[in-house]
Amino acid sequence: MIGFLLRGVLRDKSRFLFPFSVVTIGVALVVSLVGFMEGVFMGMIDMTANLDAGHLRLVNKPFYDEEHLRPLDRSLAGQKETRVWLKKNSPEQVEWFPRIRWGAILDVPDENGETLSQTPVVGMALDLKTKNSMELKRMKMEESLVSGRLPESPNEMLMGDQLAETLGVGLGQSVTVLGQSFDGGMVADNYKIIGLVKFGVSAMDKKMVLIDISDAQNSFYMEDMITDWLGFLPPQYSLEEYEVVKKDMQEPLKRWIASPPESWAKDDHPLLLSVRDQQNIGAIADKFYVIQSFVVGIFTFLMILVLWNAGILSGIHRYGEMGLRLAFGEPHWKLILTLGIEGLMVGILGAIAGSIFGGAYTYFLQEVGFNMGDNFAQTGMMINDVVRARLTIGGFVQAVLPGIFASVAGTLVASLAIYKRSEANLFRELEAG
Amino acid sequence: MNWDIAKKNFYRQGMRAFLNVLVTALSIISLIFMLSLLNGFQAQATRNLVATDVGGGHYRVPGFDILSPTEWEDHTLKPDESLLKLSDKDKAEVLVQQGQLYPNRRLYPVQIRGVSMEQSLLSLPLDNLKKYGEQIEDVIPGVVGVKMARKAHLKKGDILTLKWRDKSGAVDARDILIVDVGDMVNPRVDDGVVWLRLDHLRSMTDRQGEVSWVAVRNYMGPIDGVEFQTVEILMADLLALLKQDRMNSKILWAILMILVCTSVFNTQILNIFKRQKEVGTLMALGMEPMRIVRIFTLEGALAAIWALVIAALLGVPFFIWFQGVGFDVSHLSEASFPIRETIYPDYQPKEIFYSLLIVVFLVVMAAWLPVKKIIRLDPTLALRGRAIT
Amino acid sequence: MKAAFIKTSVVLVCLLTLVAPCVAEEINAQKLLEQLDENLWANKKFISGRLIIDNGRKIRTLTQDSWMEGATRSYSHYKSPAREKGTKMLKIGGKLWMYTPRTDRKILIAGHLLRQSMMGSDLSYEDMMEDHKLSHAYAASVEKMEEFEGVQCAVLHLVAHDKKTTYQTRKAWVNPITKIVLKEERFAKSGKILKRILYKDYKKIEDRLFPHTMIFKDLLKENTKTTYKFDVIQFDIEIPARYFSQSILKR
Repeated sequence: MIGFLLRGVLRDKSRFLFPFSVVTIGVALVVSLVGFMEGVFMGMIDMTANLDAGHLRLVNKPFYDEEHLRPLDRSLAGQKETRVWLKKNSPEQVEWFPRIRWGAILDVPDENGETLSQTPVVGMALDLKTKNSMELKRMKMEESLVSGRLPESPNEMLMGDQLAETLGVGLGQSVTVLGQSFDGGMVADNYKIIGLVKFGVSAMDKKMVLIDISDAQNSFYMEDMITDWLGFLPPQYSLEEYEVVKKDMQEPLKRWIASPPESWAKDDHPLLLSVRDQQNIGAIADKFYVIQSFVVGIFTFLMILVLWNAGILSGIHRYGEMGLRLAFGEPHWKLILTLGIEGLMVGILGAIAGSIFGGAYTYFLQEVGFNMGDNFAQTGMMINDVVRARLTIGGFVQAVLPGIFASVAGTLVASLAIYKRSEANLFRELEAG
Repeated sequence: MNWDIAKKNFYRQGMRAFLNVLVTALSIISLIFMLSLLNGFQAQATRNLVATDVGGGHYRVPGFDILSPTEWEDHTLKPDESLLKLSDKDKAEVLVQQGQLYPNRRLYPVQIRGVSMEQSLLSLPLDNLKKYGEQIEDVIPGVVGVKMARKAHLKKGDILTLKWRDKSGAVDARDILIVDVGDMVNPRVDDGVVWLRLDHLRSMTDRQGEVSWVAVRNYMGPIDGVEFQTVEILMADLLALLKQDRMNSKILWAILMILVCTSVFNTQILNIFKRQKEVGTLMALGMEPMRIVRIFTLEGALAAIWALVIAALLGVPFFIWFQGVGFDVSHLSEASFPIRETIYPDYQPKEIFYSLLIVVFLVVMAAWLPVKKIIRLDPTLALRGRAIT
Repeated sequence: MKAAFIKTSVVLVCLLTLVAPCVAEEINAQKLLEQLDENLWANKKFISGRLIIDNGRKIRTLTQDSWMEGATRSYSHYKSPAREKGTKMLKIGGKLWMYTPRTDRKILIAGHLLRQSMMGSDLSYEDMMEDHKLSHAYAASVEKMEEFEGVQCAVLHLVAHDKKTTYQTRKAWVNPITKIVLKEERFAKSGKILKRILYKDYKKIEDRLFPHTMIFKDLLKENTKTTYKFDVIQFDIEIPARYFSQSILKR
């Protein structure tokens, strides 16, 4: 029966091609649209999480309160102990990485070693030396490196390409970091610029330098001390699930603070934050989902309307056939059932084709992206200058389900017309048609 | 006559005609809505920038670049007589200096901005500063924005130390009283900024009569010793961003329009298929094919016309309602968008007119495309209903 | 004879005590300031000392050797802790350079850096840059007489001659008899107090009374204190010329 219907559908150009192409186009559009919106939005979340906020973040409250000043004297001691605690008290899927956010003055010497310029920079220290570490992958270090290489030896530095341009420095140049150590002492250390990076976030490319965490601990005399622990969950976890993990960890955290490690200062008080808590991501995410469902809703609605039209169109072609079948004594419900099944088939085929086209296009946008220039430079948002789409299962679901539904609903609505007509009338149309 | 036939035929389509109309109407509404919301965003952001910072442009000391913190402190001067002559409605003198605030006895580098109290060009929540006299008494009254207050943990009534340097380089410090935490609307004049009376800042830094810039309502032509920065230059980044946003919303709308046109196109195909006998008859009776095409196209165009009516019927109340509610964008203020409050759409008649024109044109094209093949139709086949299959 | 001596002494002490309050009128403040300078600013001196920096959370001790010539030229060499060892600071001609062996570079301390705290202490690099004798930079007047740590002091009010002087006013608690300063306060132009310095442990070296401890406090910050202890002080020594040349700023 199904095979019979399928062959019928496929052979009849007029009742297949149009609804098929409408479903295909509709599904493709929704897949790309959702992919694009997800891409822009999740791109921002990921960028923020990877470069700055983590999915989860453990930070000392005194540091967090004055974060913009990067007060290293408010760092959290007991790095090793904290790592053990984090491992023990968080789900095993969470991977924790230490980071140090620092700020300093970068002294650029001339060829005689005399001070040429002094500029304040913001810095991030993370594990750059462990080959193939998740940290490197997450930061997309390999891809972001526009020239040079990653640090291997002590005191090597990566610099934002735009910052390098502003300072007029290049690969191989030695610069001096002048800052304050954990205990307020002076820090002066030479770093060699061995790589220029471009994350595509102008806010970072213009200001940021990256060094390895062990170098930072050495330069700033922060043995066994870091400013942040960033926790990352595998990609399939959603923003909401970060909250769950965070909530589950609050109780153990309280107990831990009640009996703190010896190395902590009196006012040390680690906070556990999720990416939602930082930089207003929570509010932005909520708004985004409202807008997204609104847009997808409108599209689905439109697609149903168009398919309804298409269903009627193909139905009309077949009035004669319907008349004939009714005349042979086929009951109305069966007729409508077969029409519904046909609609379903067209829907499924269209959805598959649409998913292929939409998916391919989204994949293209995901891999290549398109450049928005440095429009977002001053907005302070962590939006990549190159906007990329993102293929998600959710995107396909949001496109395929309404696509198939629209096809079936369109056919069924259209088939109502058949109910209204008498067999004789339909049969006459058969003669005519 | 064409018109009557088209009208009659159109209404006979019943539900489908209505759907096409509805879909078109909805997309017209969404187009106008998207564009107007963006207009509203731009207008409000511009208004906020203009109202709090930019005015009609700045006459600045040449070389002043606020993004390079080491440079600008000494870029001040006594403005030209022609600028000073302007009324307080038309100019705002602003002096910007670096300072160090000590909230919680920790150092916090800030920008100290002094603005004259008499000016009414820029609207800043500085009313509480006006109560104080020209002479600084025991504390300096200052105002900070909401964002700054949150970051530095400040509240109204707090007293803390502000340190700065005068023109000669002597160090100076006094207690500052936060007389208000104001909603600055524009994070660029909020984040890391402490607002003081201009006369106070001038006497504090020994820069009597000096400014970093003079914001003016209207361009006054070139003036010696200062360079003019237009509103466009001062908000270039924001304009670029909005341009991008406009592009994005147009792409979205284009996709919507494709669906609308498909629907109309679809209907037209259905029409001529169903009514080929009618077409055949008309042709047999001697009606020119071109005229038949016109009739059918007109039918399609009627969808567009009705869509305009429905769009007006549905859209106007929606727009009026939305104008009352607005769109809350407070989440954007965390980034440095110069906007904090609810935004309201800004409807531009010219833009709406052109948008409608485009919609009507597209719908008419979609109506015409499928029917143009009537010209080549064989009347005998059409009469038998076999010309189009 | 003995009794007579005691008698005389008692009379003298009484007399001195009685006379003291009237001294305020008679003290020549400017003269006193000059005498103070002469006492502190020997033409050439060498100090080996410890800088004890307490930032409220941690205490660090740095040891250094310094050679000074007047108020305009100085050279310091840090000896410990390990991470500051070999750090050198040179002040000549109104400029300040720093050399650290770790960077093996001489860095000009200017602009941003000048206003930062020196080695995390309560002194800024700018404070280090002060290169004029007080009596040259300030006009002094006696504000009042006040007892400080059991010593009757003349409180000198110092007002800068030049508008460019960092601290426009200072106050110094000076013992008019021994011509030593016991406490100093530095003020912002507005009169707000910014820094307080205590001079302690005066000892006689050659024919000068010299403090062996100075305690600096930045009053805008919380819980911080920097103590400078002088372990070895030598006056009028020979300082090799190369100490005051940029060429010293290397390993």
